[in-house]
Amino acid sequence: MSSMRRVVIMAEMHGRDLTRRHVALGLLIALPASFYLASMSSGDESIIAGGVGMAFAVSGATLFSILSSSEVDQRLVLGGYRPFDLLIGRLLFLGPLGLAIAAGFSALMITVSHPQRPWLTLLGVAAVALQSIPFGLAVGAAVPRELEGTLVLIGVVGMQLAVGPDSPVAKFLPFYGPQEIITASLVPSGAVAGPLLLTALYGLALLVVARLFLVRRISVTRHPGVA
Amino acid sequence: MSQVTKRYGRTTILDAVDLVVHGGEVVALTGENGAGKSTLMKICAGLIRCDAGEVRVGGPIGYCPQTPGLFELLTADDHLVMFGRGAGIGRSESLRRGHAILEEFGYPLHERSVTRDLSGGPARSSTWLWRCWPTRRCCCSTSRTRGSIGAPTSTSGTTAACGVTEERRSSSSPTCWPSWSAPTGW
Repeated sequence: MSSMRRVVIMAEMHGRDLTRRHVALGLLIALPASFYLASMSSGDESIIAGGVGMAFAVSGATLFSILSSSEVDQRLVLGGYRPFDLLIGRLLFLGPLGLAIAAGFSALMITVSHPQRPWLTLLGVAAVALQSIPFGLAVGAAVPRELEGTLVLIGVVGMQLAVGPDSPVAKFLPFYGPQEIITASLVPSGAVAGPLLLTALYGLALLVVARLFLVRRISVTRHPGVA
Repeated sequence: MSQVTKRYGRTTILDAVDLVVHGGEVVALTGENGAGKSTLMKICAGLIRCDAGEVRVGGPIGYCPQTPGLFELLTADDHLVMFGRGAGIGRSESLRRGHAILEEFGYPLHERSVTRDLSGGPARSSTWLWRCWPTRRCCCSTSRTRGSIGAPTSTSGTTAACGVTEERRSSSSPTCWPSWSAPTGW
């Protein structure tokens, strides 16, 4: 029960922190929209570009959430929190936020581009948003500097957009599953269960990586008491 | 702590350091840059591990580093609630206890600014607060100036403390000042 309370407080505080960053919030919405609008001339491809482009926004927000508080995190662990509380607290706030942005953004793309299976567009973009959070957490925990972390993020998402879905490299990238779901939404038929399962497993693996690195970085030593 | 040793690569930062701080004592360590004062305090607080030796403490440890290390877009109240929850204290009780300590340090309680917008005085007060949180019995602090170690006039509930100043001295290792008298209320 007390662990849940710690997680909820962390989610609340991350929410307060991010909602006071008005420019960042604006960019969070504007970034995927600009990807989509810039590639509208390429037909259905614009939905894929916009959907996967959302990974930049959400994973970027997650990355900065973890890096900007790296100094505080260890102090919070010293003050009674567990690294797991900090991780799940961020997930609890960023998850619904990502889903809300995904819903609004999907509505825009469905209205303008009319994909054949609109509900799959919504599902695919939501999967991008949710996958972006463990991805941002894992990058932020493993690469504890902003510049390097941002470069990793740009590299991975950029590669996902650049390589074709048939490329063997694409299948190892974190947004392959969501990209396949968005692609399936553009045609009348196409498997969804496989990409969805892949997304879930990849997300889980990223969370494990994030936890491993975060625990190494912010865990504290509990000294024995005096005799 | 006894025989505490810390190495970074081939460089030995702390070599078999012994230090005992009893309840009610304030001990200041001084030394030049790189002497190992902050490293010693971080080991005390449990933020880094020593390579050899042992640390024993009489209760939970508070730690006040040189840099504030707070969320820059959260208010003092937000921090009180957050740190309070870590210590198992509810929202209203955290605010009540936290306000009492902040008031002692002259923090403007009507101030609703986020940490980033706080001027020097209130920012220092809020940083000191984490060191003096009521559940902490031992506290470690590092500072660049000796003056800021003596800044607070009261730290309720604290029974032992280490203060560290950083100033140019000829010695290459930390110097212990166990004779420093405690401010009122320690």
